Amino acid sequence: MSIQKLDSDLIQKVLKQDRSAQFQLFELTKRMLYSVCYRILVDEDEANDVLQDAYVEIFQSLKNLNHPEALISWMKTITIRKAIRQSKKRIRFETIENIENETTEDFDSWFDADVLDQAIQSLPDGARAVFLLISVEGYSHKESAKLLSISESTSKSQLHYAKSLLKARITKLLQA
Amino acid sequence: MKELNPKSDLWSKIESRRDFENQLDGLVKKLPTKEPKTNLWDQIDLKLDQEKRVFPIWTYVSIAVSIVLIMAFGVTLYNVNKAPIKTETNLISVNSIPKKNISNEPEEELATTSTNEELKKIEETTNEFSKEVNKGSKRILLEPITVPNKPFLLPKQELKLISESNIILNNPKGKAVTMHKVSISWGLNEKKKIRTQFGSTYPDPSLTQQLGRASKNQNSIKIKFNKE
Repeated sequence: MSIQKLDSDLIQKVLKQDRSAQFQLFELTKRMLYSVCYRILVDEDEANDVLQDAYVEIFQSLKNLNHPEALISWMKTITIRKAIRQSKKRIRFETIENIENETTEDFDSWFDADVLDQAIQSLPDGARAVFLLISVEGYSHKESAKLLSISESTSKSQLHYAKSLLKARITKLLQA
Repeated sequence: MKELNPKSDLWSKIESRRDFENQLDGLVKKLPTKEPKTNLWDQIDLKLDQEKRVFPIWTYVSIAVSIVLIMAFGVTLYNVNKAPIKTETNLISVNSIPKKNISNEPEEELATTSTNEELKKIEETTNEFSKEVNKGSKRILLEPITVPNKPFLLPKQELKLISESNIILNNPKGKAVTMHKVSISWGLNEKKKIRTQFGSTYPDPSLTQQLGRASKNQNSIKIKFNKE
């Protein structure tokens, strides 16, 4: 899914504002960044708008990048930040005590990535954002809390809540 | 063919893999990717071109504004340092006499009401001011100076001829006859005439006296006596 390494020549050309190199970088990374955007926003139009803004910002501020080897994670951070800013008005972190515990004690089934993707999309906005940042994108609770403007403990509790919900939703999806 | 047994902990490993958390950790890296809309690059390309054009203008404008601000600040600072400290002085009154009341003609009766009102106002303000000043002191207040209610008259001015008068002698027959005409002037632009008695051995003594006076100083007042 993710591109771990990019050709160093391509990075150098992109740094020199070469438009064809920028297009090549766009083609290599567009699916990865769009998927991140879409999973946070769960809206195609919004995700496309955010991705467009993110690429413009990436190409404009690329000259300020100190570590070209960290280009991919830098691009991802810009895109995620923009997506979170876009969805901030509707992101709501539910109080865990007040919701029904939908978890099943024994999980005894196999599931694939498509089922997981469907289950992730059905999560509440706050829990989904935390799960995507920590479990999918690999951010720490500290980084997640900073990006979402929440406390670390909220990030931890929301991740636990997201996993419990996922277990219940996947079980339902498999039974259907 | 001989059968080989797998490791004893294989089942437990399979069981653990079936565990939800382990499945989750493996599948999050295999989540399906999604494709953005096809014309996204065209929009990005267009926006990059627009941003390129706008960026330098803002840079130049910000530089120009900062230079103007620095210059304005410098000029203000210079003026503040150079300006002398001024203390405000309160004006007691402003004496303004309208021009229409000033005349050269003494025969005409002028409307002096407005001038008199002005003078009265000045008198009143001066008296009030002097009372306020001498409230605490034991000084004796002088009577205010009264200004006569006459219009301001300017004298006649003639630069060339200061005065001209005719000396009239009483004739015993009752007829007034002018014997002399006296002219007094600065004598700057007058021609000097020298009369000589051609052929005479003795020059006229009165003429030599006049010449002596006229030639002493060109800017002196010249008095001329003419016989009629």
